[in-house]
Amino acid sequence: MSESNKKISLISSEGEAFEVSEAVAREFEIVAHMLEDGCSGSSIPITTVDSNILGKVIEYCTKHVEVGNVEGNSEKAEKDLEEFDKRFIAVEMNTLFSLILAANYLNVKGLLNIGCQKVADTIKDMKPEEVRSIFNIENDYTPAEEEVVRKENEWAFQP
Amino acid sequence: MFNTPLLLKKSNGLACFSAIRGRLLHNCGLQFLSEKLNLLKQVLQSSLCFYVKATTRLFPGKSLSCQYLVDRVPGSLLFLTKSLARPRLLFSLTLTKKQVSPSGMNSRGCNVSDDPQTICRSSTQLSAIDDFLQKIPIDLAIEIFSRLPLKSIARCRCVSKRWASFLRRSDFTELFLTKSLSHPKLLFACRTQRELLFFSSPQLQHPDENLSTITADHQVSFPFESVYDISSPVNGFVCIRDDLMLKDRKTQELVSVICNPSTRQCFPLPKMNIDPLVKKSTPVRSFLGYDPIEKQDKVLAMIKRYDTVVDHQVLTLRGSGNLTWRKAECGIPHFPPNPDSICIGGVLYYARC
Repeated sequence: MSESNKKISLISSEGEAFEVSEAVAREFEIVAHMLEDGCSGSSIPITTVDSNILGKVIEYCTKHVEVGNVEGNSEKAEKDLEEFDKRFIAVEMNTLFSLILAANYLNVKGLLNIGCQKVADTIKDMKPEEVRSIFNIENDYTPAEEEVVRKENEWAFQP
Repeated sequence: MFNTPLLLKKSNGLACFSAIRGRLLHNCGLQFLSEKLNLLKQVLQSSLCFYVKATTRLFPGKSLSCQYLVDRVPGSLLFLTKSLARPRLLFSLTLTKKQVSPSGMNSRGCNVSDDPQTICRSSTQLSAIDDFLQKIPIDLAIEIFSRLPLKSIARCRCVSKRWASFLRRSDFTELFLTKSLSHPKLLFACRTQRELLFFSSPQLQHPDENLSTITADHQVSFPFESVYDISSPVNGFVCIRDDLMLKDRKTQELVSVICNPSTRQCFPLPKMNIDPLVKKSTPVRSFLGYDPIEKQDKVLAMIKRYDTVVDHQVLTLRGSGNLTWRKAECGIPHFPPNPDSICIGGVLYYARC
C-alpha cells in the first residue's frame, strides 16, 4: 500500500508543480512508462501542457482513479462517472482542443476519447456555415465551386 | 461475423474470378448452393420483390450473408434461415417508407436557422478558434471525423477545400470503412414499377434468439425503368443493370449503373465493347469485386453472345482518367445463372452453372 501513497509532482509548462498520488500520475500513460523505465524522480516536467489544462487533466484522472477504487455498487458509480465526464467535457472549444492535445500527448485514453467524441457531436448536425463560424474557417470555395460541391453532396442536406 | 452459406452445399460448379490478377480461376474446390437459385427466381418473380444482402453502413462488408426472404404480405417480410433445406421463420420485418429521425438536423434547436444572425448568435456561445485541422495532428483529426455519420461528413466536405481534401484522404476512408464494418447492416433492395428502393436495418446480433419485428428505414430510391440485375454489394456499392434513357441518346439502352445507396449517388458505366451484331436483348451479368492490394473496385461483366460464346470484360473503377472495359481471357465459356457473388480477399466467387 505504501506505493499508492507515494506522491509525484507534475510540473506544468509555467513551472507550477501539481502534487498527485502515483496512482493518478499513472493514469497518464506517458508517466506510467517513465516510472516503469525506472525514472524514479519525484517530479516530472510536462512541458507542453499549461497549468490550467494540466489541472483539468489531473482532475479528470483523480476522479477516475477514485471511482475505480470504490468496490461494489458499480452500476451507480459508472453512471456517476458518465455524468462527471459529461460535465467535465462541456467546455468551450479552445479548452476542448487543448484538452484533446494534452490527452493525446500524455496518453490519457479515456479523456482523449470523450474529447474527440465531444467535437464530433458538436459538428454532427451542423450546416457548413455553422461549422465555418464555430471553428473560424475561411470558405475558400468560389461561389461556383461551392455550388458544385453542394450539388455533389445534396443528399446530406435533406432530412 | 458472417459465414458464407453461399458456398456450403454440394451442387453446380463455382467459377472464381481474381480481382487482383484479372483472370478467371477454375476448380477452386468450392461448391455452390443450388436450391437458392429456385428460391431467388421465386422471389424475383413476385410482384414486389425483396432481396436481402448483408452490408454495413458506408461500405458494406466483403462478407455476405445469404438470408433470403419471400414476399407474402405487402409491406412485411419473412426472413428465412440460412439453411434453405429447412427454411424456418427467423423474424418478420416491416418496411417503413422514409422514417425521418427526430435526431436530424432540427434537434439542435438553437443552431438551426437559415438566418445568418441566428447562426452568429448561437456561435458566440463558443469562442471562435482557428481551423483545428491546421492545429491538431492528422491522426487526431482522423479520430474525430471517423466518429461522424456519413451524412455529416458529406456536409463537412462543403465547409472548405482543406476540409474536403482531408475528408477524401485514403487513410481516412479506410478507417471509416473499418469502423463501419464493425456494425454491419442489412440492405434491402425492393423493386417497384419505376423505382428501386433501398432500405436498411441493423444486423441482428443473434437472429436465432430474436424472433421479433425489426424496422428497416427507407434509405434512398433510385429511378429505374426495369431492373434486370442487382449485384451483390462490395464496399458499399451495388451494380445494377437497367434499361435507361441516357443523356444525348435517342433510345433506351441496357446499361450498368454503379450505385452507392449510402450516399444516394449513382453513376452509369461506359458501354461495353459489344459486337454490333449482338442484339440488345443479349443477357449480361455484372459482378462487383474489390482488389485489396491495389485498392480498386472492379466490375466483371459477361455478355452471352451465342449459346457457347461468352465475352468477359473487366472495368476498373478509378476516380480519375478514362473508364474503359478490357477483355478478360477465359478458356471455359460459362454464363452465371444468377447475379449473386461474394468477393473474399480479391477473389470473386459466383455460380457457374
